[in-house]
Amino acid sequence: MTAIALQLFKFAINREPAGRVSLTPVTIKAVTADRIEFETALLLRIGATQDAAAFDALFNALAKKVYGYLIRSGGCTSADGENLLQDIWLTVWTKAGLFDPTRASARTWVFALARHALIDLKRAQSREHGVFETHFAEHADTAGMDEHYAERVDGDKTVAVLQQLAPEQAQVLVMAYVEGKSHREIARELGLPIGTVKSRLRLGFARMRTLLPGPA
Amino acid sequence: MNIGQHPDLAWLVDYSAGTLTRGFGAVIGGHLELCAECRAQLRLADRLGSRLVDDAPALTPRLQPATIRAAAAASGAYTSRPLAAPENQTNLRDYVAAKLGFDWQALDWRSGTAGLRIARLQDRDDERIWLLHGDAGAAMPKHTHGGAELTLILHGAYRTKDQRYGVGDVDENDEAITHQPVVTADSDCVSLLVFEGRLKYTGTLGLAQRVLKF
Ligand SMILES: [Zn+2]
Repeated sequence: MTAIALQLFKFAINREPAGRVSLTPVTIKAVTADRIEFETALLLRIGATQDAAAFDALFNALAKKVYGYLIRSGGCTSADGENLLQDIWLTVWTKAGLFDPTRASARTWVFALARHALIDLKRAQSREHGVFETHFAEHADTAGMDEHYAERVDGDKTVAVLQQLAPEQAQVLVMAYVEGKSHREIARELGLPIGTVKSRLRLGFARMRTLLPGPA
Repeated sequence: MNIGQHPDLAWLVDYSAGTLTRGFGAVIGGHLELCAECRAQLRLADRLGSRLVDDAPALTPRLQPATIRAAAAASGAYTSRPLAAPENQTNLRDYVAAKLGFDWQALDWRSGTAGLRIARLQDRDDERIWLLHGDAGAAMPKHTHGGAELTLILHGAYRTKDQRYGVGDVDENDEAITHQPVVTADSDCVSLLVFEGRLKYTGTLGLAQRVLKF
């Protein structure tokens, strides 16, 4: 396992060495349905008329979160983070017409763009220079790094939510969404039968579903 | 539209995370066009994915929205809003042709075993993309797989030992499964077949495959 998943996962496991589900109460900040609908209305407006005010409002509502994700979860440098952020929001501005509100909320759509942009960057980096892999490989097993990372993500609700899953369920979800690996790649990498990965995804998904606020 | 056979949730997670390759993406995308149930699952998967990234702490970038608008104006990039096809009117044959970039009129159909024709859109070991046309009642040779295999039915229907697969249904198989789809008697059947590795035929065709190495 590589990079982010290793770090997140280690952190989650370290807290519960026996691999039990943590019962620490976690408050998941509920994003109100109103807010989600407002963002979606903004995105539809951008798609329909390329409304600059709507774009600026949506940017102000979401860009800090997206940037935080790129830097803190994605491990981007601020230069890479700014570049990706520009690509992502350029896509929002020029391709908002492709957004389908029956498929996703605006927030989900924008974060999907961010995830894909980050995955593309990581794949390109590991293909070309091995930078990403190397960087984390150098630091992955040092206690100091763990501590540093734990400090950085402590209080991060992502980790808190993941702690409510069995570690092996959290692991496959992180590999899928954060590392951008397909379920077959995950199976190969972990040396598991495909069926095992599928059932872990299904169980983790079912558990996460109960933790997600708001309408489906 | 009555969809009976769904892909495993793992494929929807892959779709949501953006990790599906071209062919598998077309199969899952085509199924989603017709399947409200899987669309609901996909929405959940998207929300879950967002949840995994959305909890990142907010950090203020230097980038300003006006910069992006200016950059876009300079490059003239803008995609106008497409007209969405009304629910259930999606023609899967049109959908996959658009998705995979081919023309139904310009396909290179080759005869396979009796009653079967194959057009190969992509033939790479990591992902083969074939279109299959079977006459009514035609049987595919019995085979197993070198990896994952997804079939999306675009027209007509076929049966395997335990199931019937009609338009929009996804038939999911892998190296552990040997099967022999047979086109139903009432109509011909067109399907999109995407798989890793090679099909491995069993029986006498398998013997021929080993000898002739196809
Ligand atoms: Zn379905």
